Amino acid sequence: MRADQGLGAALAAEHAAVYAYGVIGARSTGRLRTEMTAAYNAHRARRDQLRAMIIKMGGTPAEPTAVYELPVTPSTAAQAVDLAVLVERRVTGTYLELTASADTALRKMAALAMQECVTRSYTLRPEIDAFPGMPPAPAASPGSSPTPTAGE
Amino acid sequence: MRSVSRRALLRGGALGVAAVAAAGCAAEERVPPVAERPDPETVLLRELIAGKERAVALYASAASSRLTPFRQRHEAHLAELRRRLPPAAVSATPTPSPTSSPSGGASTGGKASVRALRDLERRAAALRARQVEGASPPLAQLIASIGACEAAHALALSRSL
Repeated sequence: MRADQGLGAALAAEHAAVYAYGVIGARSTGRLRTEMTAAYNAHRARRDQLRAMIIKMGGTPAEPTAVYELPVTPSTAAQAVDLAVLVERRVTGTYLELTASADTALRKMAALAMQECVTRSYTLRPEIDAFPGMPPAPAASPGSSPTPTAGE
Repeated sequence: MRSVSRRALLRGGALGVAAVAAAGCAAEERVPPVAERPDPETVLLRELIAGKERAVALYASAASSRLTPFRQRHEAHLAELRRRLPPAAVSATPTPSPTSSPSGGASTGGKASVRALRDLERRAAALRARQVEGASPPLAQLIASIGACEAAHALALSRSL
């Protein structure tokens, strides 16, 4: 994968995450709002880092679109958590692509970003996937092992 | 250009041939057969597999049903890593079963504490961010994914202390 392609996809995912957390934070209260605000700031920091990297490589970072279509506009705490977990999963998947970059520094950054997304998701919903970011395994073949996903 | 007589050339050539012959004999006597350099990807996979075997054994020693999902995820990692070993590497070095005594690393003689498991997960997650640098793209993705799982394990175990 070309580094600029992977970075562009990661930046697009971070733009979307910042937008989503802006909506989620505005519709949350109490401790949940604090967590969502922390997540919003973390994604903003990664977004800014990606923008800077793209510029350093001679590229032009894409601006966010005006509006992102969210699967749900959260009106309850449970919906807010659902949406936040979905956001983290999508961003994790995008960074997974970047871990295959020819640029080893990008790989390392993406691997660490994945760890951040997954731990942030865990704080919201204590579930752990054996292979975060990976597409679901195809139908089990004889001899294949299960990939457990369980709440702790 | 300096001219060299035919006699000198022949003498030098003869000496050269003798030197090469002597060197050849010495090389045959002293240099052991050159071992085939191991494939770096296979070396990395074996290292990852050995680490996972230690993790599975440690979780097994903890003997707590609460930790079973953690051990199962490590077993899933182990199965996927073993699947990616080239067939020749599998037949060359049989991998011990997860419950057998792992060579090197953390001792599994006693019951592993949650704190020890958390530390293991933290170290593993930190190591993955470095291991992705030297792997092929598909293996780098697997390592990064495993590292993210281990980071979540470390957080989950921290909360249970």
